[in-house]
Amino acid sequence: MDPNERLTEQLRGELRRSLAQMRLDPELRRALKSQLLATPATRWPRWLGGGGGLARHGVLVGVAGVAAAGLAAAVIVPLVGQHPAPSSSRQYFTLAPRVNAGGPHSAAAAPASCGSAALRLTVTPARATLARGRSTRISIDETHGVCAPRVSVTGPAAVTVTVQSGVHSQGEASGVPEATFEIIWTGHTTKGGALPPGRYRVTVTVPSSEAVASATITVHG
Amino acid sequence: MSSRRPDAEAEALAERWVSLYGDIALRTAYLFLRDRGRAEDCVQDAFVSAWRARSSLRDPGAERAWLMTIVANTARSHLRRRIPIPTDSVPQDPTTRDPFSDLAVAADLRQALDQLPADQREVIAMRVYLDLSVEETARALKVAQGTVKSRLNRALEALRLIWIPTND
Repeated sequence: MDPNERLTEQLRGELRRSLAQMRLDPELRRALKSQLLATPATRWPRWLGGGGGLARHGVLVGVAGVAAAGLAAAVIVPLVGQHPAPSSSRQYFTLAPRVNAGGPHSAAAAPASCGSAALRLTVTPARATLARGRSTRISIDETHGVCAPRVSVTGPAAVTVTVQSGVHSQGEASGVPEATFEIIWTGHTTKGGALPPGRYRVTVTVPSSEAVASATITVHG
Repeated sequence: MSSRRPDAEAEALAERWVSLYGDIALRTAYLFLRDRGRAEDCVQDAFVSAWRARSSLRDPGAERAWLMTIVANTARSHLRRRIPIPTDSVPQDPTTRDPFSDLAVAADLRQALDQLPADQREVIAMRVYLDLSVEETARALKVAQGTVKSRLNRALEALRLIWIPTND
């Protein structure tokens, strides 16, 4: 065997052995699948949805700057109207609430037709520990209703988050309305720096419902 | 397949992509970016890009190479953005720790790879780790096939001086 071929084979074997331990986290695996299913095949401006990297690493900091300047929530509903749509239709919107420590400030998307008292809300994951500056995604699942969620964050600093990619559907078996939204936790403050360490609480509510769910994000660093 | 509803097909495809290619995409991105968090970001971005462009995949047999090409391009784009790597002083749980950290010899390999220029590491990721052909690697990295060969040769020459395989 050619010495280069031999070294290549040794290198391949060692890389595969070493990297075999590296697997997608189950939560990320689920989130990735959901993200794909929420992404249409057509393109739309990346910052409107699905654009994880840009959102996490800069562009939305700019959006936050706009928010800081007085735009509490940027609401965009480009693909469907303001009413719940039939199965498979999607509603996309983004909002950039500015939240300060000491008292939650919240922002919500355009009013959607909802109002079912039976609405249930789940936030996944309920807890996450992140390195400073790290981003993450939090899934909001609604059943028995389709309502634009209201997100507020309390913690040591004002944090930039966005909510995007609402997907509506009628439940496969039950026929009950369901919706999935996603919170993008940028890991950055509204001024663009990495979030200071501490514990942040993300609370999700919907108008005209008593449903509430929350997640705790602990930032180390 | 054709009798299935589009939503069910999309779900099956998403499941297949994530289960078949998720881990290997993460490892490939890691070889480019050398940081797990950035690699995870890269995989998400790459898969979403690929999902949007999935109708452009003409040959189902080339799906793996096509997807890994998108991962590679996304990783290179992330590298160009020069996003600071988050601090590693954070205690990490076992599922997120550096995959090389447990193996002393693998640490040697990591250190050796770290000494290579990015373009040589990229060729190693595509040509050696993923075992893509020269042609596929050239297409993925947008360079000539001769460039793939010469970069790999240079990388191997350098590695020969700084890395001793375990089974030697």
